[in-house]
Amino acid sequence: MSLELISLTLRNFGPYYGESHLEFAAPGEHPLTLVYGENTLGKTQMFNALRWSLYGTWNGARGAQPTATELENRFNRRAHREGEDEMSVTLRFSANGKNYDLHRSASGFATGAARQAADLRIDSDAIAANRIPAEIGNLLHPQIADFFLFDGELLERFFERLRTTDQRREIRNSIDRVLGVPALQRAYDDIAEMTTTAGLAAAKSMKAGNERTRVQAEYKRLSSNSISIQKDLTGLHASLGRVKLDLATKSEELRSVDALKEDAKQLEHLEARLADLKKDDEAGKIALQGLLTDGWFSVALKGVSAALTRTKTELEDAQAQREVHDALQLKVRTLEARIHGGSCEACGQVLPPPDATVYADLETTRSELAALGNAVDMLSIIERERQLQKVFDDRTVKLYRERVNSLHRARLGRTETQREIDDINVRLAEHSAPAIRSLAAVVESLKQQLEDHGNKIELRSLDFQGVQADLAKLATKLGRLPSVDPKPAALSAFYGYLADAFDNSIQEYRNSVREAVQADVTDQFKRLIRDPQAYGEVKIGADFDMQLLDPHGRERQTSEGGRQLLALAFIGALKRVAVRGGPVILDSPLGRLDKEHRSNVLRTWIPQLGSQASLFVQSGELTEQEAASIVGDIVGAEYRLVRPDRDPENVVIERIGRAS
Amino acid sequence: MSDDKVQIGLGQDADNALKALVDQGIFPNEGVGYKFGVAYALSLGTTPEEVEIIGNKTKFAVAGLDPDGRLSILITTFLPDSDRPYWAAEKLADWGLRDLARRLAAHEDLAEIMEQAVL
Repeated sequence: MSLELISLTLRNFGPYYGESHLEFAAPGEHPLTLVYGENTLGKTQMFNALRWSLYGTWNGARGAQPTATELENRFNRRAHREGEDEMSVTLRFSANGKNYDLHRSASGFATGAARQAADLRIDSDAIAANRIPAEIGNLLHPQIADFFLFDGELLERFFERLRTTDQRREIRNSIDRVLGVPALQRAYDDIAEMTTTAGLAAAKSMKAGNERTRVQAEYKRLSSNSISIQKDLTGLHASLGRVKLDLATKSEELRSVDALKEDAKQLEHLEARLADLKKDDEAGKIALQGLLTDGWFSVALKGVSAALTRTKTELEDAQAQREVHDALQLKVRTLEARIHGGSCEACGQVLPPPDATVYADLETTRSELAALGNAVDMLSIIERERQLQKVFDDRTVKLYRERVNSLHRARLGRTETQREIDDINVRLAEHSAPAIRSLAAVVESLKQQLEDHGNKIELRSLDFQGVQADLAKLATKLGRLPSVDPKPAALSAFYGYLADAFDNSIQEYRNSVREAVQADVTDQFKRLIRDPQAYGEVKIGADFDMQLLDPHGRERQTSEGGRQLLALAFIGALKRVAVRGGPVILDSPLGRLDKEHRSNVLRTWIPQLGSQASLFVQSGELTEQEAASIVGDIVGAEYRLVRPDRDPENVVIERIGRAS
Repeated sequence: MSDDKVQIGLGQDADNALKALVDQGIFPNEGVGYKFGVAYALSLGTTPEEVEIIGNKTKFAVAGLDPDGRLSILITTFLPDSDRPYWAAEKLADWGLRDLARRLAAHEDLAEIMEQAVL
């Protein structure tokens, strides 16, 4: 898709009074069109006319549409004075095998409200006015115009713009446009849209499928749940059966030993009683020992008692003898007192004088006293009695008997208790009280388990019924769901894959192009520069930021002219990798370059563009002779701008010949 | 009584009997059993002269065995002519304990034996 300029016709545009016409050199061996013109003669106006024809503005390809005043200022004053009311530019070109006739005009100057209009015909077919920008944009988008239609000023600012982030982004977008990335992006967008459309179709188709899958999954889950519940129920019923059996066995066992429960209680009571009796027995033994400790001599009571009796008798006899003795002694003393005159010992009365009997009586009494002898030693008898009393014990034997009898009775009771205990133990046999209590606890536990199992079975049965009902509903639902068409899903997946692959390809393409541009720029720049050995390479980043490096990889600064050469090299490289070919039109691009570099540009850069190129130059840049000498072999058309009548409002495009 | 014994004992059999009676819990200790044996022998009219001790073994000091003199009183009560009551006690205890052991071994009980003695 290469655009080829055919001709340019100006009418009352700027200094071009009336109609001026220019035919571009055709691509091929002589693609270069040269337009010579000194300053103010109209090179830039011609350049602007080209821009205006294409994009409706000369304020840069992406500038705003000119106002009425700006249109009026651009309108040739001579024509205006002569009553003309229209200026126009007609650009004829071909692309894709079709002829384009683009006519841009402005009129209404007489009313002071000039308006512009455009007319495009493709192979004579008129294109709607609102479609013209799109048609032109498809061939030479405004964003890439900077790389195809540029003047010296743009060339000077190009390098600076690359160093400014915002400007670089704008240039990068333009570069993308040159490289066809937006087209690729649009293709990607189209594919993405197709993916979305297919996805929607697939989603619609899959919705039913998903629902079926979801319902099937739910059915499967519920079926699994149902089986699980059935297993639970089976297990619970089995467990319930075992518990019932255990409960019956244990209950029967417990009933059989219910009677023994009382025995067990009685046994505990008897065992406590037996323990008490054992204590009593021990206490009884100790008491018996105590009786013997205090009354060991009691066994001799018979002999002691007899001795004591004898001693008491002896004492009584002695007492009686003493009383007789004392009475006889008193009588003797009384009789002797009567004889000797005295008083009574007892009452103190004076005794009567003795008579004859007194003496006889005294003699008799003395004889009796003598016959009685001395008085018995009562103290020794009393002492003996006291000693006997120490070993006299008539209580211990009786107490011992009583205690022994009591102990025997207690032992009988103990024996009876032990016998009862033995009897109970026989009855209890293997059923100890703790075992019986444990059995009762087991029965209670089994009853609780039975209740728990019943509750669980009831709950799980309800679960089972619920799941079965849900399964029935799902089965009905499954029967009503439509079958699934797999094609939309496959198509959606394919488009999705394609979109991803395309997106990756765009990135790869961008990277590969950037690498190609980097290599080409470096090569071009070294061809254009006077001292290529002083430079290493031109590094172009992912964002198309540019760095000029020395042979050692360090960044290197260059002159203003060097920067212009760098910009030209970059534009040339872009031109070669651009997906859309097209002409290059340069307005005074060589002003800052010295003769050698201008020569380099013309000799190496222009021919490598590979398609049409048009140079608008003044003599300071390139004279007709220099052009003939340097690029004479590729020049296809040469024009000279002249003022035939020195009127600045009347510039004429004069064709000066064609090189061979 | 100046030549009476100050340490007294038992023959082997009587000593064995005394130990057995203490072990059976009849007497709280050998001293009580020893003195009971004397009283028992006296109650049955036993005299020391008729007792022959074989293998005499000293067991008690008199002062410790009879601090209140009751043993001596009892012996002299039954044997007023005895001037060596502790010598007599040794003989009487030996006989009494052996006889008591014999009777108890024959399933007589002590209470009955005592009752018979005092009747």
